[in-house]
Amino acid sequence: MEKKVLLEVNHIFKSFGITKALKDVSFKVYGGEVRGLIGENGSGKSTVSSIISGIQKADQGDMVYEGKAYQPENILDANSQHICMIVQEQSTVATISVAANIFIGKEDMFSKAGVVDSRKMEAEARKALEEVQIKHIQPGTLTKYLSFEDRKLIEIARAFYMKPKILIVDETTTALSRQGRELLYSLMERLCKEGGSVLFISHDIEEVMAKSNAVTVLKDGVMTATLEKSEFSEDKIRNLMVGREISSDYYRVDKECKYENKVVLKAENITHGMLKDVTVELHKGEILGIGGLTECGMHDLGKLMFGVMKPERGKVVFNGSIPVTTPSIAIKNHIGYMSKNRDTEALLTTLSIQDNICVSGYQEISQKGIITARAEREFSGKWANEINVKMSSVKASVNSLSGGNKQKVVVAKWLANGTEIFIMDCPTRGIDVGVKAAIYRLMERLKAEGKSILMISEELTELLGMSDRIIILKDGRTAGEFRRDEVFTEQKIIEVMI
Amino acid sequence: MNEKILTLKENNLKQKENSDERKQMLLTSVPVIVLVLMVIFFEIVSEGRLLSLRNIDALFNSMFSIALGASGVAFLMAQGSLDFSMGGIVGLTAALSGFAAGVSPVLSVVVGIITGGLCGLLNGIIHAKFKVSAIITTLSTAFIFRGIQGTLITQGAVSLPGSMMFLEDTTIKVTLMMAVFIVCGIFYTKTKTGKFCKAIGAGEEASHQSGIKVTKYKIGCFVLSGAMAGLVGFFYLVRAASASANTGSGFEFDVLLAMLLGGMPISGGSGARFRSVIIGSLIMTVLSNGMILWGLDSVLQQFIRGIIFLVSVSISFDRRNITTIV
Repeated sequence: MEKKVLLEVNHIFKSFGITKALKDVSFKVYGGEVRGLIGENGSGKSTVSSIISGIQKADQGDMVYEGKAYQPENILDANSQHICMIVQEQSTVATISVAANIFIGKEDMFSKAGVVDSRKMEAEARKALEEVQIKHIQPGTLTKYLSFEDRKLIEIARAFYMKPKILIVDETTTALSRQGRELLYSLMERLCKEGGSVLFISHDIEEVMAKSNAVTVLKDGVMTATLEKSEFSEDKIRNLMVGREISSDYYRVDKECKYENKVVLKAENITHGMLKDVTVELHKGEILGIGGLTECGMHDLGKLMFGVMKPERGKVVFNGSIPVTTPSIAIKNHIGYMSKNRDTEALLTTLSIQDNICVSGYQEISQKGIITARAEREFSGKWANEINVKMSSVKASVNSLSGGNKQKVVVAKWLANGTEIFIMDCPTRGIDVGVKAAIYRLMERLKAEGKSILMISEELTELLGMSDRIIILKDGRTAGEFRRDEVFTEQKIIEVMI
Repeated sequence: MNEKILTLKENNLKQKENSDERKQMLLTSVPVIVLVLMVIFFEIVSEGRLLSLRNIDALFNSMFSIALGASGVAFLMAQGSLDFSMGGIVGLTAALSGFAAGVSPVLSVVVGIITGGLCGLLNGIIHAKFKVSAIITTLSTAFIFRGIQGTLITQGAVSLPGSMMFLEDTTIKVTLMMAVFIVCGIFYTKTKTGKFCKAIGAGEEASHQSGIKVTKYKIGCFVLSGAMAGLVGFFYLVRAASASANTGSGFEFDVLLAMLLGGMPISGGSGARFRSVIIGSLIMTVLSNGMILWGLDSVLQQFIRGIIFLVSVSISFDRRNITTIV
């Protein structure tokens, strides 16, 4: 039987500011197949799926669905054409009932004169749940009383209620137990038998290989290959995913693992949320990389080591004896923290560049407690110029800067107050290549000056390019440690990571 | 072609920056213009009585308490908080200072300031430790302070011994007011205390991560605001020579209105400047005094205040961070 093309994606381009998320991506999805979509963090797989499901629009390119041009206005428009997506994040509202979540946005189906008939809605919700063989969830319960897995199951029921022809499953299985996974797999199979198709996104290569008929691999926003089931091999896929040379002038060139023996900052047996019994030692003059999948708890680790959060168990110690419990204690001991959420946590965006650079350094500026306007201006000007912040003047609002220059302001703030230990959470997130390179150069300089850096990153290439050691976390535990002078390849690390 | 578009875009951006700057300039000069216009207007309608020698004395007296209250609450407003309990604190401290005045004049002042500070401490702890919004906290404690005041004053009023009447003197008040302006102004613009308050108003989490002890500064500023209200309470007592159950009522709104008219954004942060305290107190004084000289009846005066309040809040609110006004 000839395979029928259900969806065609033609030459899609998409950029976010200066980052190009997708470059000329084209593929065809056939009716009755599960299509795996695989790639590293930031490779563009979520972007592609959000364009198909109508969450975002492509900058260029078009799509053909069932032989007709397809250009969804928004997510509801896509739904009405039977293209549905189960997203990676939680998308249920905790304070309303299960039924209300299933029919969110569709309350009109059950309303008379503006009043929603919740009994009718619950009866319909029960049908929707039974349709996907979920019997243990009551439609009338408030969603917040359900486990995270059950909430995900509601999203599955919601998607299937819309009778999808194309279902996009984005990293859903990580939130499910074995039983839940089996249920989802069987539903996917059923959909394919009925002639629909599934776009299956997962980090787990084995899972994708087991469940898909074909796999499309993305790398840095470019589609590198589409493999048929007969061509599947784990090594092949992995190479297509990560097979790239680390350009030597971009990152560090040496292969040494050189730092002093002195431990300057130590997290001892930290248990907090996702994190379970994690111990991390940062040495003087070391760049220590922390990696893992987004949800592995590594971002919390950064906050814990700066004292922003208090660990449930364990402690953070500076120089072997001083406990770090609040940010002000951390700063007094010359520790600085660059949050991943730059605009809300690292910067006072409505204030000026000057205010932002000075805020953690007033003890350096003030004389007998008095801060003069001139001292502030000179201090902030000196440090902003030190790392080339592109600005009209230090009085300009931080909001007027680009992402890369905002990050430079954050760096300037910590350099200015004499920070010796930098905790950098995704330091190059959302910034262009030029500033990225500048930050890498700066990291090398800091290391050479005997300062220490803890770099938390979702980008493996960056971790490999800059770190002396890399610690990989998985499900909140230390899963492996790698040294620059020993085995230091992406393949080895990904094996530990997933 | 592409380059042309780029330069066009850059030009647009520059123009936008320029127009932003101009808008900012205009916004900051508005209070001064308002003050000048108001003085001219009331000078005309009062047939020259506004700036007569006798009235200037009255103007100073009425500006004195608003200026003191505004200096105290400025730090709090920079953080984006408000204090609606100031009137309650003024009333309570006036009553307690009155009782203490029977023992000694010095004790009377001390009691006023300390009681005010303690009231502020209570506000600060409820707000910063128990995470109740500043508006709800101070509205509730205002009732509590008034309640205590009412319970203390059982026989109509507490009166002041005649020996303390010497404090009812314009020179003393003007000197004290200037001293408060200078000290608070320096703290606000030239020390980390003021800078940190503004930072908290611009972003609490980012301030916390910059090493600012947010809780400490929040509580501290409530204590300052309370202590200042306590001092005002003492001078209310001196001026009226007695304290009744009504003493201090409406004071918080006068102060708040003064700050807003002076250009202090209710959301705190970047636009919060100390000069709002001085200009605002002046505007508020001229406004209340002018309305009386003009012969408006008190109900109409309240009505006008309400409208001005609403308009100035909606103009001054910094909408860049938040979408609705608290």
